[in-house]
Amino acid sequence: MNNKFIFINAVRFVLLIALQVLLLNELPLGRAYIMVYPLAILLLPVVTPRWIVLLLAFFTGLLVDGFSNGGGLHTASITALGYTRSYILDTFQPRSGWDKMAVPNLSHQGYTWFFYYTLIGFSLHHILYFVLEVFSFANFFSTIMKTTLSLFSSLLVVWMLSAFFKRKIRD
Amino acid sequence: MRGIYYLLSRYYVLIIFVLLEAFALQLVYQSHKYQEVKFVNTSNAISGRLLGYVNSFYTFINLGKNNQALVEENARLRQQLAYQPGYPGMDSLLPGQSETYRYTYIPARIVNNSINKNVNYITLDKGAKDGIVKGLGVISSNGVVGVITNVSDDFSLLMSVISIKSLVGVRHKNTNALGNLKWDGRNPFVLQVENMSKTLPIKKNDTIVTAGFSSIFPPDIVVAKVLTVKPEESTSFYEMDVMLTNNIATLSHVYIVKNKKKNQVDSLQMLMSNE
Repeated sequence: MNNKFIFINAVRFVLLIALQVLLLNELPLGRAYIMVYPLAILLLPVVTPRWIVLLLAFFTGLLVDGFSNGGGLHTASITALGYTRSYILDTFQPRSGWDKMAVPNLSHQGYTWFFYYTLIGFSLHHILYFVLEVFSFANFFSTIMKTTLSLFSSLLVVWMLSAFFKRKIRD
Repeated sequence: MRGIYYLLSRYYVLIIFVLLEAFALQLVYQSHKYQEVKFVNTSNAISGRLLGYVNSFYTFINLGKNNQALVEENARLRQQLAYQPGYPGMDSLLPGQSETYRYTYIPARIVNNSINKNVNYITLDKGAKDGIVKGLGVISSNGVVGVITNVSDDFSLLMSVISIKSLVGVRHKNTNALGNLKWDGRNPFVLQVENMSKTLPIKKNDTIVTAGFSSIFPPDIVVAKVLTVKPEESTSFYEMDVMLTNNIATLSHVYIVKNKKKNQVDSLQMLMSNE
């Protein structure tokens, strides 16, 4: 089971990063920047040690930066998400606490839970990304606009992807 | 000593986080401070090659549009050629006599492109091996694209004019008024031209060309068309929105401009600014 977990997560990392750097970075949308790779960090099993989550997030960021001339923006925002993930999970844990095998995804946790979880996670990542990108309060409303547009386009893609890969869970 | 062990075992995740985040923020700080992306960028062999393969697919999608642009350019060049004295043997023009001989053009293919950031970089498949150096201008068949900022052996990186750090000297074609082409970071299809005096008759759809005073771009390359123009309240200049004549998002082939007299011009201008 453990090996299967590692395999699934590794494949997911590779696919999401590839989707990001080969397709989404090239979309000529202009005002919205769709980023889906934070999903790879958010979907790691709950029991994953925090330092592993952190390192994975950091190297994911470096990889995405390296492929998109981000100049550290992706690294900084995804590393912060990697650190705060455990706190988000603590806030969102079920009444009986997290199961040992729990996976924070759509199939296991349901639509409402997954909606709020991704909303919080992606908001944090996107806000940090766009704030670091402008590095100042110039064009404040344009930055808010860009963040909101990007956030909801990213979430839309994430939800569609998750719904597509949703599995029936047998209890 | 036990205290340190205790702290490490209790807060090691926080410590790792602070270290990694500090490193990342240092990268962000550097990318804001300098023109080029220093540490991680697409001009390295691995990402450059991979993105090159993928981009040949995007090039294929835009093939029709790009062919059209090239055909138009061909037609324009043919027309110019017809007016050349002594064509087809161009012996009448001594090298260096004509302005056009100052510039040589190196064709390059776009490997990676973006328009959704504040500073947008484009990766090209020509590098130091092909004689590319930092600071050269890049144009497409129907407009300007940007300036080279990073060069590796096989690839180079250019900062496109759709960047808040970019600045290109331009001229209003009819009146010869000078100005600067900049971008405010909002809509990547609308750029701004600054410093054009309110007294001049500038209208919608007027043509903006390169000024040619810098050693980067040749003069009189068509850059943009005026979209909206209105006098600024507090200054003596126009507030002008322009649209580029080339669509940078779908470009696939560009020319890198080499100015044979760049060094001379630059050192002279350096002398001037030192005084």
